Amino acid sequence: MNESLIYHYDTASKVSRSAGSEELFLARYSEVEKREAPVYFQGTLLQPFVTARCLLTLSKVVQSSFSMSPFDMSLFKDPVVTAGNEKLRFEGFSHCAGVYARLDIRPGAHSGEFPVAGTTNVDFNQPMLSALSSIVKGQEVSLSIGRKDVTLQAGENKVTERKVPLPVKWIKGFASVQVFLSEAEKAHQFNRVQTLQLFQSIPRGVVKADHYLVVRGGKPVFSPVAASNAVCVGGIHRLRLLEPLLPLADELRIYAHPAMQSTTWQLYFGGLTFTLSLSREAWRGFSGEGAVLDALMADVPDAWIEAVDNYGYTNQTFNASLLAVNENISFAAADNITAKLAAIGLLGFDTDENSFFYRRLPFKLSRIMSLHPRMKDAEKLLAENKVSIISDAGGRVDARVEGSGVTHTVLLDENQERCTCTWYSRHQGERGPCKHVLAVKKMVSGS
Amino acid sequence: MTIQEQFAWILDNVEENKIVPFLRLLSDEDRNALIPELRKWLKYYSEYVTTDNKSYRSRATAQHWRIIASGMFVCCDRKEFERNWINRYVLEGKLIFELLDFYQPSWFNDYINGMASQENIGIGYGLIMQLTDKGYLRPSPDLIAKTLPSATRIARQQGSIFTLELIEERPVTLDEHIWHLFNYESNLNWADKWSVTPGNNHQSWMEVLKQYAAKGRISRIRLLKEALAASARNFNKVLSGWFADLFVYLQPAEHELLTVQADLMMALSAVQSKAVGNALMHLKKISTHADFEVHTFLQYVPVLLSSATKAVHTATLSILEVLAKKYPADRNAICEVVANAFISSDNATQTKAAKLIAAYGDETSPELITAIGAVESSLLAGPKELVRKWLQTAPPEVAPTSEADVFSPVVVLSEHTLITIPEDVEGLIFLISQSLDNNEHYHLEQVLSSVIRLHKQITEAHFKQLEPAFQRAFKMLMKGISGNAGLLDELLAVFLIEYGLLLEQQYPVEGAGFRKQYDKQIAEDKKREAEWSYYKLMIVPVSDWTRHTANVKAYEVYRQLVLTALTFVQQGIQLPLVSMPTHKGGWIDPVVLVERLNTYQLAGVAPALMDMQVAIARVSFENSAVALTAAAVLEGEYKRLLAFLLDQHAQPAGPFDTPVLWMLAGLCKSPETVYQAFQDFPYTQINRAYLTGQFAWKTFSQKYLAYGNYSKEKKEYERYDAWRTVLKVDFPDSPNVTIAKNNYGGKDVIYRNVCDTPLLQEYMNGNKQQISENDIQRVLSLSPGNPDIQLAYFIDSAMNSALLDEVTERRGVLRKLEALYVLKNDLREMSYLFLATAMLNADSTNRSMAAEIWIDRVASGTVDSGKIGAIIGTHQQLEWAPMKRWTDLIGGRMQKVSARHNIALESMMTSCLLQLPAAGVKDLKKLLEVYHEVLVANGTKIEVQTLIGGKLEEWKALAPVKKAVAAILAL
Repeated sequence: MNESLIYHYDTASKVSRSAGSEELFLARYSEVEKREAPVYFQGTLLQPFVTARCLLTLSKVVQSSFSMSPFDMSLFKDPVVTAGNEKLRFEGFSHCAGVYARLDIRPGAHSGEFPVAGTTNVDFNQPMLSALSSIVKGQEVSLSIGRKDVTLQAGENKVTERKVPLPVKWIKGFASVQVFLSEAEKAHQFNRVQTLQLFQSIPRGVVKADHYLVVRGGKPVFSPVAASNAVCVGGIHRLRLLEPLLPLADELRIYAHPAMQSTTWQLYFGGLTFTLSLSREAWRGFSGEGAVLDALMADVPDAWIEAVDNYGYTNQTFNASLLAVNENISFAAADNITAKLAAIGLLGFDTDENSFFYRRLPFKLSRIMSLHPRMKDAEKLLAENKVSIISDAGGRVDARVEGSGVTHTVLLDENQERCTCTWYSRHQGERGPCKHVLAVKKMVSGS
Repeated sequence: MTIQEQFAWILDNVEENKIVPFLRLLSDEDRNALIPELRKWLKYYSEYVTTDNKSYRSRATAQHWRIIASGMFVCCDRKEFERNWINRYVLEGKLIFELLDFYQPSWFNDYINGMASQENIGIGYGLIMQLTDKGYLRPSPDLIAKTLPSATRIARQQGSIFTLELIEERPVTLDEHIWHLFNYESNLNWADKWSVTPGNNHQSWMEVLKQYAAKGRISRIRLLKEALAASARNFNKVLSGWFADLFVYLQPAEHELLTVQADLMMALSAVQSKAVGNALMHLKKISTHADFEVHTFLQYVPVLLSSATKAVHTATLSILEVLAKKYPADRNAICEVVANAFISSDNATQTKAAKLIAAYGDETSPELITAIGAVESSLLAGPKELVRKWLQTAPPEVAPTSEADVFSPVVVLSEHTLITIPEDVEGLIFLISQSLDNNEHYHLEQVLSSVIRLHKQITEAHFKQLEPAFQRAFKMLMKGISGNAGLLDELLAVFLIEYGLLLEQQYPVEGAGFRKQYDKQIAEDKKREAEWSYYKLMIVPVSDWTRHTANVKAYEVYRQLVLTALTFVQQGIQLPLVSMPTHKGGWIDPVVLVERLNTYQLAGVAPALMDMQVAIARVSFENSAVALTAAAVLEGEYKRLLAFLLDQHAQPAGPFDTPVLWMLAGLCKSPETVYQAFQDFPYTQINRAYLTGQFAWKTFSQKYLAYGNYSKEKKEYERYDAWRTVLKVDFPDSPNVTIAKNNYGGKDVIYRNVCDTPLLQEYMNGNKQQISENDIQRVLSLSPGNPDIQLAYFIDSAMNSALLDEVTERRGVLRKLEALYVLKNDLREMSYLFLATAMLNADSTNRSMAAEIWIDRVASGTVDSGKIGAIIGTHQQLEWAPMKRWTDLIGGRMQKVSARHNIALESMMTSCLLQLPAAGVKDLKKLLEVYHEVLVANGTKIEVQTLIGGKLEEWKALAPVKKAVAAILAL
C-alpha cells in the first residue's frame, strides 16, 4: 500500500557563502502546516562542523535501506525537523523503516531565535548535502529553517516539487519508534576509545546472525554468542551508519528495549546528541511491530487530541498530569493516552530527559490513524461478530475467535495473552498482540 | 464511424500515420470517451498468444504500441498514462513532436524530469535538448546528469560510434550541463565502456574532459575541484572511485594542488576510502610547502586515523611526520592527534605512530600524556615500549596465577535450560500451535511426551481447539517447509495429522472440521501424485514417512520415537518417552531417567529399544552420584546397566540381555575403553572409528583440473592442472559400511547392519546436503555427549576447502557451532578438528563464534588449546587458509580476555608455530607479531633450548620474519 507524498518547497535548501561565513538554509514543507512560510529557526550553529557531519549521517540513514532495491532507495524521503523550546530536532527514517535517526541540537550548540515553533519536512537535496560536506571546523555557519521572504523566492520561479512514494510503514515507524524509545533502558556508556574499539568488532559485510554486546577485560565487543543480559543486536551492519561520527563523539550511550526488540545508540558531542535506533532485525521495520497496538486500544476522544494540540507547544515536555488538570480528565486516563498520542505521531521521546515531548508529525493524522492493519482487522472481527467470550472471571478470559476456516482459542490472564494463531505461535507475544487477542481485549474492555 | 470505431480501425490496420491527425481532431469529450476503448485495447494487445504452441509473444507490435500510447498521451491523465509501461513509445522518432504540436499537457515537464529517478531512463540527452529547444521542457539537472554520459555514443547498425557532436552542438552543454555530472549520481564511470566500432576514434570521458580543459573550453581548476568534491560525495563506491581516478588522470601540478587545497581537505571526510587515499596522496605532495594548511589538516586526523583502512593510516602518518619535522612549534599538537593511531590493532600503524611521538613528542606535555593514556588499553607491546615515558602506569607484571587457576565449571543441567512438559491440556494446545512455528530443537519430543501424558484428558471441545494446529500441519506438508523449519517439522506435521485421525475416531461429530480439512488436502495430494511423476504423497502415516530416512538414518531415529509415541497413545499407555530431554541441548538428568525407568518397571512395560538408546546417549554425568543412589529402586538389567553407566569406575556386569544398550552405555561412558565383557557383541566387528567418531584426517595438496579462459573456437573453457589444499576425513573400511564416491567428488558412507539392532552411532551419518540446516541441532541433540561422528561427515563434505563459503556451508558451520556452544560436550578429535578449522573459516561470524567457544571452554578449563593450535598449524603448513583470518581473530577477540586466556592463547600459538615449516609460510610475520604481544602480556621469555626456541632459531635468518623473531628472542 503506497501513497505519494508531494513535497512542495518554495525554494530549495542550500548552503551559501556570504562575507566569509556559510549560511545553511533549509526549505520546509508540511502537508498539515499551511501557514504562510513561517520561519522556525534563525541563528548560528555553535558546533557547525559536527552538526554538518551529523546532518550528513542523518541523510545517509534516510537514504539507506536494508531490505529494498537500490531503485527504491533513490527516492528518499526528507527528514522532519521540530523547532521550539530552544531545541532543534532533526528526525529521519531509513526506507525499510528499520533504522531511526535523530539529531538533537540543544541550546549549547546553537544561538538563535525560534520565531515560530513547529514540525516540518525539510528539503535535503544533493547539492545542499554536497555543500554541507564542505563545512570545516572553525567556520561560522548560520542556519535558517523556512524563510520570511518566500514570495520573493516564489517570484523567481524556484518552487521545488518532489514526488516520492510514501510507504505507510515509513510514517507508522516514525510513530512506533517513540514507544520503543520510551521503554528502553540504559545498558552501557562508553568513552570515545571504547566506542571505536566496539565498532571495530562489527564483522564486515551484511551480517545475518544476531550479535551481543559484551564487555570483556574492560573492552566492549560484539559477540555472536547469546549471553544473558547482553544487549542483542540484529542486522548489526546497520550500526556502521554511525561510523563517520565516532571519532568526533565524546561518548556513546546504549539503550536497550527490555525484550531486546530494539536498541538505541546515542552519541554525544557537547550540545549535540545523535540518536540511532535499530529494529530487532534488518528485515523488520519498526512499523510492523505491534508495540503501539495496546496503546491504541483505548479510544481517545478527538477532543483530547485537540486539547493536546492546543495545549502543547513544540518540543515542550509532555506532562500528562498537567493535561489531566487542565482538561479535567482522570490522571489514569491521561497516563493511558500518552502512548496513544505517541503512536499517532503527536509525541516524540527524549531518552536523555526520559520524557515525551510534544511535536506533531508533518503528515496528515488520517494517514497515521489508518496505518494499523492489525487493529483494523480486530475491529472487523468485532463488527462481524466473530468473537465469543466463553468465560471472563477472576482476571482470566477464555474466548473463541473465528479465523480463516478454523476457530482460534484466546486466553488472557494476568501473566499472558495467548492465541492459537500463527502470529502468536511464531512470535509468542514479542511482536505485539495478534488481531484475535486485540479483538478479545477490545470486547472485554467494552471500548 | 464513431471515434471508437475509427481508433479500432487505425489500430487494426496498423495505420500509424493516421493516429496523430485522428487525435488532433478530438474534442475533450471525445478524449474522455476514448479512454475505456484504450484500456480495452491495451489489455487485448498485452495478452500473450501462440501460433505454434511452442513460443509465446504479446499480440502487439511496436506500431500497435505507438498507436495506443499516442492515444493515452492525448486522452488520459498523467497517472494513467504513466502507469502503463508502453508510455515510452510516444518518445520514439518524431511522434512526440507531432503530438506536442497540438497537445501539451501541463504535466509533460514533470513526466520527463521524473524519469531521472527511474531505473530505466527512457529518454536520451539529444531528445531532451530538442524538446528544450522547442520550449516543451525545462530539464532538471538530475535528468541532464543521468543522460549526458551516454551522449558521446550514437548507435548505428554496424555498431556504436563515438562522437562529440551532441556535446558541442549547444554551448549550454559545456557551459552548464557538464558540471551536473559532478553533482548527481550517474553511470558516468561505465557509460564509455562499450564495444568500439573498428576505425572509430573512441575516447573515454576522462580523455574528453581533460581535452576540453586543455583547450580552455572548460575551467581546469573547476574540473579539479569538482572531481574532488564528487569523489567525496555519497555516490556509490565505483563512481566515487572514478572521480578520484579522474583527479589523478588530470595530473594536477603543485600550484594547482595548492589552489584546490581546501577541496583536498574536504575530500578527507569522504565515505569511500579511495577518495580519502587520493586526497592524502596529493596533500602529501604539498605538505612541505609554506602554504600548506597544517591546522586544518590536523582537524581531520582523528577521523583519518580511525578509518578501517590501513593505507589511510599510513598516508596520514607520513604526512604528519613531514609536518612534525618542518614545524617544531606544532609538534605537540601533531603528536596529540597521532595518539589516535593507537586505536588501530595493526602493529605497523601503531609502531609508526609511536616512533613519531618518540621522536617529536614533549615528555612533559600533559595533553600528550592524557591523549596516550586514553588509548593505553589498546596499545600493543612494541609501540607501548616506545611511548613508555608518557604512560603513568607501571610496566605490566606477570599475570597473577591465582586468576588463572579459578575455573567456572560447566553446567548443562541448569534451571534456565530446563525443558518442561505442560501440566494441562490448555498448555498442550498452545504448545502444539507453537511447535509448528517456533521450531525449538526439542519441540517434537516435547509434543510427543505431552500428547502421551495428556491424551486421556482431551475432550471433544479440545479437539476443536486443536483445529488451527491441524490446519498449519496440512499447510506445512502441502506448501513445503520454510523459515526455521526442517524435515523434522515435517515429521511433526505428519504425526499431528495421524493423531488428528485418531481423535476423529473418538469424536466423529466434533471432528467434522478436521475431516473437512483432511479430505480437501488429501484430494489435492493425490491429484499432484497423479499429475507429477516425481511427486510423493505428503500426507502419509508416520510408518510410511520414509523419504528421508533411507539415506539419513538420524531421521529414522526420530521416526521411531514418533512411532513409539503413537503406539502409546493408541494403547492408552501414559508413560513418558524415556529419551525426552530434560535440558536444552538434548541432555537428560540421570535422576529423571531413573525415575522414568522405575515408572516403566512398575507398569510392567519395557521401553522401546530406540527410545532407550537415545536416553542413554543423552545422559549427563553431572548428576550421576545422586542418580546412582536412586537407581537402587530399579530391578534387573536396567539396574545393572545404570550402575555401570553412572559409576565412572564400574565394570559391566552381566547377564547382557540387551547387548546394544550395554555397548552404547560403554561408548557413552568412556569411548576410549574397550570392554572385554563385550567382546562377543557383534558391534566389535565394526571399525571403532565408526563407534567413537575418532576418525583419522589429513590436510594435503591435491592436483585438480582448473578452469581457464573460455575458448570461442572450442566453445568450452580451457582446463589446466592446478593444486589446492584440501582437508579430508579418512573413513576406513568396516563390515558395517560401503564406501562409494558421490557426485560431489566426495565419499558417501552407506551403512549396512552387522546385526538386527544397530547401535545409535550407526544412525549418525549424513553430510551437508542430507541434513537440513534447521535439523542440525536436533540431530546433534540425539547424542549430545558425542557429536564427533556427525562432525566427521560434516567436516568431510562442508569444510574440505577453506574457500567454501556458500550458504549451505556457511550456515551449516554456524548451526553446528551454535549447537556445540550449548552442548558443552567433552572435546575429542573431531570436535577439535571442527573447532580449529572453524577458526579459519571463510565466514567471519563463524570464526568469531569458534573463538567464543574457545573463550568459554578456557574459562571452564575444558579445552586443550595446544591441540587446537596444532591442528591449525597442520592446516597452515600448506597455507590451507589465509593466515590473516586467524591473526585478525586473535587480535580482535581472543587476546587480553583474561590472564588465563592469555596463557591458553600462548599455548595454542606455540603449538601452531611448531607445525610450521622451516621455510616459513605467508603472513608468518604477522603471526609472530601477535605471538610477541601474547608473550609480553604473559611475561614469557622463550628459551632457545625449548622446541619453540629451536623453531625460532630456524627462522632467525628468514628475511621477512627476521625482525619479528628477534623481538621475541629479545624478551
